[in-house]
Amino acid sequence: MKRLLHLALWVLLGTLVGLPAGIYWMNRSLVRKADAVGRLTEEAAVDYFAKAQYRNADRGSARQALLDAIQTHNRMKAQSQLRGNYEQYDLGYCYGELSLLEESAGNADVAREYMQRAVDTLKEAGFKGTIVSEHDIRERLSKEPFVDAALTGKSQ
Amino acid sequence: MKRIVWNSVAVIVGMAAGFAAGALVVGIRFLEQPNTHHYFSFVGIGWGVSEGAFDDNSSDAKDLLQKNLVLLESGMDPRSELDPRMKKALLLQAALTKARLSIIEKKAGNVDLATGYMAAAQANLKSLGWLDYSAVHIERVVQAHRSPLAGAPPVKPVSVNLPNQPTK
Repeated sequence: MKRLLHLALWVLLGTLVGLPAGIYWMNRSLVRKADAVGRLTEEAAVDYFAKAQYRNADRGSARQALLDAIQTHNRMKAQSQLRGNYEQYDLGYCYGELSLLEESAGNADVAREYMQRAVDTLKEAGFKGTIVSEHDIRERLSKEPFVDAALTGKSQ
Repeated sequence: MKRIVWNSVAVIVGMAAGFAAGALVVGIRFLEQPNTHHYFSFVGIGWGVSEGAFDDNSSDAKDLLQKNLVLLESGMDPRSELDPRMKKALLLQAALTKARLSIIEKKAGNVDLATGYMAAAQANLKSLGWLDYSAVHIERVVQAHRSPLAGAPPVKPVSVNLPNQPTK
């Protein structure tokens, strides 16, 4: 009986050592990775939404979606482990789209400021050459498919 | 000597049981109470897999899209603690998922179901401020436009020279 009790105590001691190790391992292997992938998906979902709104929605909705996407991109810059140049490229083009949207609304000064931020963001991400010029950003955005509803002036 | 061996075996068994129990507790909590980021990791999987199946005309596409829709709607639930901005992004995904289901039902000859899904998609997109929410336009968007998580695009994108830097 005493022998069995001793063995049970040794098992308990082992369990007390194993339990935190299991919790730590699962956190590292699953939870943190899922967290990183989740942050990346969250950023992609908001960016996708903003770009779809820019192409299809009224000016007010498109502007709000782009501002929200910019805020999310900037927040993720500090938080996301998997974030890279593609996300920074998306951020640059959010500024570019916002610039064209403000330009079409007659807000020339704001439009200029956003275009400058677009160029700076792409440079900051390490892009070089003509890709970071205002001309190139405008040209790429003009090739975007679908109706640029936000730019047609039908909106607020 | 024999006692030492038995005690060592008992400690090892205990450690293994403790390790498994710890991992199980975290795994169950992860599945039962996902936080926002974990929820989005599921959304990412659902988004990429269901859209990829639709684009490939897979026989599983309908089932996967319906499951994806349930996942998206759970995030949009009023009881969900997600940021309202994120809920709007999910609403767009839900609308496009319904449009894809409409296309599948139309191909299968289920006109009523197809009409129902498309009407729901149109109502969602109208509430998001879309100016053209006609069925023709939505179908065009869905068939020509792939999400960043659904694999390679069907049309060649404008080429981009990304700098050769590793991600963080």
